[in-house]
Amino acid sequence: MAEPVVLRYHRSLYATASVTRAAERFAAFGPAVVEAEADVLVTFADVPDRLRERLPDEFANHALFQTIVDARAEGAK
Amino acid sequence: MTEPQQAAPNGLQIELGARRVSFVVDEALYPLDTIQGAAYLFLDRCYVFLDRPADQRVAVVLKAKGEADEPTLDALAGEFANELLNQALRKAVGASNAKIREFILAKAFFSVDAPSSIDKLLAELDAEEMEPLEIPVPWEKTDG
Repeated sequence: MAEPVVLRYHRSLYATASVTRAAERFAAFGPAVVEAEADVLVTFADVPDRLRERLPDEFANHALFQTIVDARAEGAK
Repeated sequence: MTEPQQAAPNGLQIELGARRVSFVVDEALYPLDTIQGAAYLFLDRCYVFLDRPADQRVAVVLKAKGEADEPTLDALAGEFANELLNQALRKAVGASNAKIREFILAKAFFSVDAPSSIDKLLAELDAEEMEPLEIPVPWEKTDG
């Protein structure tokens, strides 16, 4: 079985709730979001080989997008 | 990363790699929402990743979605730096104009010289009732 893809985001830059929300859209890859000290860890256990290189890039954009959108929504309240 | 630090024309210390360029932004100069604002505008052009190498420092990694040579990556970093400045300026102008905006909005909402819409409606109703040419006439009297 292939190694899981583990992504790490600094919690001061990526909100855990936003990363979790982004991860829900990638549920097909079996994501799990865990907080670990300063970081938010996202583990994808079921990533096909052909997507292993591209998935981290795509997910990084989604996580950042969701963080910014959520931060702006929070600021607008 | 294939090359050591290079000085871009905008003064950023950028690092070029395969399809990617990275640099560190000082949060004292550009607050996080400014960096996020710039990053947001680049999400459709490239992959953007933020990291925190040290306190008050944000590392920005821009990765091209396709093939990209060094001048292209260098230009991408330069454009991001310009956008940082743009976002910072927008924020500063927004903050300095906040009182004026509030004043203009308040004036627009609370100026009461014009009659309210209910007053207008009632006036129209009164005008209709007073119309002399539309006095109802019993039908028996219309035959002459």
